Amino acid sequence: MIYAKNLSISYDKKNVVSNFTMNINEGEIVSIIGPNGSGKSTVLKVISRLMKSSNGAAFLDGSDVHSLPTKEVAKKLAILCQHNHSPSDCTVRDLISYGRVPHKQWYEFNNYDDNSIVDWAIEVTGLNEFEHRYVTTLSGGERQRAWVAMALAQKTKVLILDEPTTYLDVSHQLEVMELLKKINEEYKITIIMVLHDLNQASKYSDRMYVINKGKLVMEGRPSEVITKKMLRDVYKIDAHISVEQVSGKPLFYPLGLIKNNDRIEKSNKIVKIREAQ
Amino acid sequence: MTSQSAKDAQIEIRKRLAKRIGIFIAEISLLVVLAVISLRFGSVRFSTGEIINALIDGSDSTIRIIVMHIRMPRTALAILVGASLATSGALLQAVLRNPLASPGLIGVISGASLSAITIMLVFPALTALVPFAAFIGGLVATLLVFTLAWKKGMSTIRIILAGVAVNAMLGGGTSLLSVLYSDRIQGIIMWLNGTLAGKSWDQVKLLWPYVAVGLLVALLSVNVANSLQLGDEAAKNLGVRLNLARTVLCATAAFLAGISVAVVGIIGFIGLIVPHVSRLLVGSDYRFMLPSSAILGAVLLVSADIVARTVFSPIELPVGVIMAVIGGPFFLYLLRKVRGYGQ
Amino acid sequence: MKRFFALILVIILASVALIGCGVQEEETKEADLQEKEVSETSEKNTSEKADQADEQTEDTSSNDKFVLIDFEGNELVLEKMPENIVPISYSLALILNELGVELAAMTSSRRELPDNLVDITKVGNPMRPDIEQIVAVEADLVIMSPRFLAMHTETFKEHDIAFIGIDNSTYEDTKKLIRNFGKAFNAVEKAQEIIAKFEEREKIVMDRISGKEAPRVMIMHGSAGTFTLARDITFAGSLVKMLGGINVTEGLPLEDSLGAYVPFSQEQVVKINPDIILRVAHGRAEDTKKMFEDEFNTNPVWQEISAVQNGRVYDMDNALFFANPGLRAIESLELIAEILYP
Repeated sequence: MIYAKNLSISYDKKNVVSNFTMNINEGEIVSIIGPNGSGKSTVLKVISRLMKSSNGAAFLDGSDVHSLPTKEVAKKLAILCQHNHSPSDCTVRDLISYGRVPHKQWYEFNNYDDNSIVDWAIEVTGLNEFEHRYVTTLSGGERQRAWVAMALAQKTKVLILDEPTTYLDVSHQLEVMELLKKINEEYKITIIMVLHDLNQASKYSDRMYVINKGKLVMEGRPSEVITKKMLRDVYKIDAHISVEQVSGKPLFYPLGLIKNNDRIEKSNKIVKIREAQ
Repeated sequence: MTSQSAKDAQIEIRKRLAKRIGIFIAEISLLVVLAVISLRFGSVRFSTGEIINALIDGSDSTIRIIVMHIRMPRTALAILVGASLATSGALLQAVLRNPLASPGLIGVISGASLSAITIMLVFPALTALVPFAAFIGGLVATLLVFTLAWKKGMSTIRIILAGVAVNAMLGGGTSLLSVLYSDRIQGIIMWLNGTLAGKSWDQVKLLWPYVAVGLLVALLSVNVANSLQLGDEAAKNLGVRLNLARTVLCATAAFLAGISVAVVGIIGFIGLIVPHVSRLLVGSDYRFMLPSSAILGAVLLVSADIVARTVFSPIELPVGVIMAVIGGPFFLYLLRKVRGYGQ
Repeated sequence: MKRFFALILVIILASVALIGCGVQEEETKEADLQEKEVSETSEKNTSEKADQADEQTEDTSSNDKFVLIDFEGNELVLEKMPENIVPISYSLALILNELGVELAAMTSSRRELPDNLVDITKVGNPMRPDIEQIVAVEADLVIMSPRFLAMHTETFKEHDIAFIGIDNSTYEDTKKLIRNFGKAFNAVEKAQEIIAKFEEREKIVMDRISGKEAPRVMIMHGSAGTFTLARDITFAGSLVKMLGGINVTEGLPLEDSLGAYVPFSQEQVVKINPDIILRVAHGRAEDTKKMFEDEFNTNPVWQEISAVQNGRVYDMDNALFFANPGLRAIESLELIAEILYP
């Protein structure tokens, strides 16, 4: 569905991403993880046509994403960036209605069908009681849901999200992630997201890509990716990995930063003691 | 959705729509009333009876001339120019996403001024060409701003900075001419402050087709303007071609401002304040806010013109100063009254 | 309560600032005039008050002191006759030159100069005189219009240069100052000669027009679209008044605080229906004509006015009518007399 081949991206002559290849199948939930500044958001922006790559190409359903007209891409792919802004008198319903823009001519207004789709998006995201509230008056989680609803109203097959949960508290984070899971399962929407919370990524993803310093480090199912070695090499942390009983997905518990060998010895000792118990 | 909340939703939507349409109708009525007042009152006093008689049977040609060839074209011009400037400001505020955006920012006004002043001071024999020169000058200046701002696309910051630079240069040129030809400054003082004095049907005939085109394009771009308000990335996500949208909207804004300045001189303030007032009244949805801005712009300019020619009759004041005195305080008042704006 | 007052304060300040800016702009632009076309009403009032003291009674040729009366009626006394005189005014320079006074330098001007003045040092315009040049010629007396002088008095004081403001706005001003210059510069006879010639021609004019009906006159500046009207404190206006013409700008509200040119309502012009329209603009008469022609020919508003209907619209030469030309002022008077009373 989405295929990024040998992407190299630079900002102001600085190479941010080199030779990144990614292949995403329809209906998957895929997350991209990596340390700050590793180039994750940049990759998202290139595959969603917000940015151009200096080398390599991104393909959507077989066509080069940059050769397609912007509007066409908007009908197939929706991206939700980190910082979003709505006018202070924009209601939830108003915001979601924007999602229909890619499907209209620049001079057209929303018709009955469009309104039904908006209704549907409101329903799916559970925003019924907030429909006429101003978006700026909602809580973080509710607001994020409203933006997801707008992306839903776009009726795309792919939804890309850049750090959708970073500024939210635990319960709101769950709200959003559960919503994403639901729309993936019920409506078969492919989801690609950048997440900082590794456990969250592990829990909700089918597959994960790890990127570090602009290069692809590894990819695979969460159980293959969330390993002590990966965490040590990429994040420079020492961690304890266990398996979450209900989902079977790996859970990591950070133990400490890796600064020198001493530290490693110490933490190894602790682990050994625990295992012994 | 339960049927109850569906009904509630319907009611909410209807209420807001009704409110907006109500305000619309109020604005249009206000405009009509002001237009009538503009015809009825002026620097020369006539009674209503005298005016009506003169119009019907053409007996008193002085009254007829004054009402039909001075007041009417002035009122028509005020409506056209007020609407153009307000719309121009609204479009620019959408593109630049900056509440301080006004037509002056993109160089069109200083460009038009410099051309017009060059002719009036240096080649006074060519005065008849002032409107065309001003128009071309305005567009060239805007083009200059765009060219400077372009760097693989047009970002908001670059447009604003380029605008500031171009304004400074052109303003310097204007000042230079003022000093070099200081003995001829007298004639252009009124132009520099914007005036509808001495305008006739000729100017109206010249202006209205351009205004019609400009306003039409503006009205058709309301959806794009709305999308731009969500931010660059969200707008791009929705399939808006950012550079094209920005260029078209800026060009339309420059066009509308350029033709206005070309005919009546420099009238600032409308492009900056009227869109905000409109936003306070009908909200920031450009489908309502844009037409409302156009009407309010007309209302403001017609009012200011009435005051400009009656208050110190027979002396004419420049209409730009009147407008600032009316508009500024009114805006402050609204800001206090209406909640939810700028929060 | 506090917020309410703060709001009122802001509104008042904003309004005042805006009006102030508008007025200030007007004032600065008025000051941009190169020649002394604008004579402030206050100056006129003071000069009226000082009428008695306007004429120099002393004949200073006997002692060595130099005495000259300025526009307000005050005396400027110098210990001895100044040697390096710099008039920063075209008309004053020409008058002094005609009186035989030797000039060290004079104002820059694009206008025609008598042969002996073509090569002398030029010191810029009254708005921005070149102080270096003035100091370089060792000026000991600067003469200019009071309006512009006010901007530079500090500078002249710093450099220890004597200065005096001489008003040459109206026709009467011209005669007065010629007499005063004559007395101050020991050129009494020459001055009387010039004045005599003026008055000779004046008499002819006044005799011819006596008893004739006074026409209503409008003096327009600018272009047909954006025009201002000249009041009788301008040069052209003063001539019209002297000849008994009625300026349409007479009797305005707030008269004392108005400048010499007022933006006038077109409606009033139609109502007043002047008999004669004088058009004065920046350049030569042909150029002026073009600026007004189109409008006057096509716009029914202008066609309605009797001056236009009777063909009594005249384009005036800038050189003779925009500012008081000084020596040629009598020509200006004669021309206007012909126009007003054909």
